Amino acid sequence: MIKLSGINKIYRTNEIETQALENVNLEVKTGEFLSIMGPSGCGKSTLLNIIGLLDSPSSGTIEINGKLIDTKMSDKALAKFRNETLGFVFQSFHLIPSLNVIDNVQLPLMYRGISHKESIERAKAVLNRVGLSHRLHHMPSQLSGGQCQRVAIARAIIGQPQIILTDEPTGNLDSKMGTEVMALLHQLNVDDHCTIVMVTHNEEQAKQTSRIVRFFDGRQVQ
Amino acid sequence: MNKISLYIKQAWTMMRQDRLYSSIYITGTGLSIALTMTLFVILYVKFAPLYPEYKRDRTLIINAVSMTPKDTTSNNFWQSTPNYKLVEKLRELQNIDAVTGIVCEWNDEFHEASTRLSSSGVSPLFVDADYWKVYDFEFLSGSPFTSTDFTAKTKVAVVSKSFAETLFKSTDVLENKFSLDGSEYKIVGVVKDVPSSMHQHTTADLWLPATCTSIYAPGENDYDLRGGVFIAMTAKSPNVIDDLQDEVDEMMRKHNQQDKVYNHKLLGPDIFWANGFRQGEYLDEFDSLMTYGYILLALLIIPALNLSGMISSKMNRRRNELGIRKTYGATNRQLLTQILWENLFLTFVGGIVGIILSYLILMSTSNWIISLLSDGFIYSKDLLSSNLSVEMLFNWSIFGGVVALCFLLNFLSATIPAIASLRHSIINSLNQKQ
Repeated sequence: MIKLSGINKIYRTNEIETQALENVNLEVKTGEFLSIMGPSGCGKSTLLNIIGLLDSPSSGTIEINGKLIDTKMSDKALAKFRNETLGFVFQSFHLIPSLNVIDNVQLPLMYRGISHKESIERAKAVLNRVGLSHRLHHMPSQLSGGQCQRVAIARAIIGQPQIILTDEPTGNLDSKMGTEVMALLHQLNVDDHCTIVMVTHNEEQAKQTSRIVRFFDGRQVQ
Repeated sequence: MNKISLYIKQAWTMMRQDRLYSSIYITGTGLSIALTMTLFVILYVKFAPLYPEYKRDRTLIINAVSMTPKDTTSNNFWQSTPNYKLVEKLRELQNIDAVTGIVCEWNDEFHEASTRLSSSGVSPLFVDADYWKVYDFEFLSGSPFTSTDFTAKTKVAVVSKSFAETLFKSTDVLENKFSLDGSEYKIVGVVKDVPSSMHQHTTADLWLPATCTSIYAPGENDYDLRGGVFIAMTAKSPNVIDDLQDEVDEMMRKHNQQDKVYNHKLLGPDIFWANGFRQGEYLDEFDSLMTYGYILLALLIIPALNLSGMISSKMNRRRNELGIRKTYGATNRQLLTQILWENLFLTFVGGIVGIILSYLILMSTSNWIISLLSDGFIYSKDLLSSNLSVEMLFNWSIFGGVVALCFLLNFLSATIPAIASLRHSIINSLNQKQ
């Protein structure tokens, strides 16, 4: 499903060159729930961003669903691929503060050209699934952290992506909320056969996933 | 609900969430549009076809004629308004539809009209019979006076509705008589009022045969074209204006050949809109138009720059949102469209504020605006209270202009900050604090 070969990422400024990732080779199979762990600054998030086509590698190749991704593709083509194949859940939720819950959730469908009526129906369905059908018209500022993250998950799954990429999804939540969110992710993995790649610092949560890869100083160490 | 409705819905929410930004933006846009609208209205009143000057697109004006001796040793030079002899010569031209001479009163003379019921200071115009062909007055009753009345010096008058109502307390005044400066006139027609912001050639309370005034001067000798009238004429169509001007030039060439003593030169005929920019012998209408262009540009560019700065700061704060949208599949083009729509919404709200403000400005400063519109002659306007008519203030070309202005202002102020903001990478945008 996801195959990274010889991925290097080097950040360059005028004077300094920093190697964030060094010769990363990684395969994630369909339906797998993979955890990426490592200390801060080891390149975990950079790797996730590269998988999510939010950033491009300095060298190396990315294959998703057997398709070799050219990161120099047009803005339109990359946007379409992200929209149809990938779902994202971030540590800080990244909800749009000026949109209410239902409008935040239907965002990916808006860019897919799906009718507003269908978008609304699908948004209601996924919000029901994450237990927020009573918060459709609330603004993000009116929700708790756990509710925000559930909205973010609803947004990530509304387009029925095959892959969900999540960067420390419970990092901003208390343990109870964190457990709820993890349960939701596991449910998506098991019921919907979503492939999930999760960056986490939480060893306990990582242990619940199918596989753990560890990074140190930009290199995959396990 | 399509994307645009969602954009506008979001713009509405943001407007409520960020009230300081929105109110400054809307006020700035509103002021800019109000000032530009005011300028539009002034130009519209000055140049557009309005009652009773519907033929402005083919109206030509001659306000003066100069005369110099053919004897080059003399430095004498005379300049004056033309006389009725020139009007008669012009009437013979092929491309002319109608020509009229309007007697000019150089001093702001006071005229008093009275009836048994009332009396009032009034503004008369002394004109000929063809005046009614050059201008399209709406007769509420009766008809214009004729060339026979003009030649016979018959004391007849066409009066405005306000005149009739003030002096007779009625508009049914045909055949009624009133006294003006000691002479008695019979009313033969009643016309709809002319707003006092119209051209000096049409703004009046009553219109009388020019032969009835003591200052009527048909011309002293065969060749002298100097006198005391303004000349307004209409070409047969806007397409033959150049031909008509050539005909006038040829006519004057022949006239100067016949006159052994003097050379005459007309200051005109000027196309109606260009005549508004004439200053004595000097006429550079394009230079004057450029001045209006610079004012318009300043009214647009300065606020656009200020708004651009505001939008730039706003876009910086919204960088995170743009990153989120890109993450979920928005292209740069879609986001640019969204930003322009959202901004257009605010500009549109500002436009509405601007229209209201501009009407307040126009209503409260109409006297000052009239002084901007006048060509140096402001008659006493005892009865002319309606400075700017509804037709002048509410029309589709003005509203169309405002909408176009909103688009332009929006485009000028929002495009560059939006593009600059969209150039940031997704990661960079996502890392921007909300």
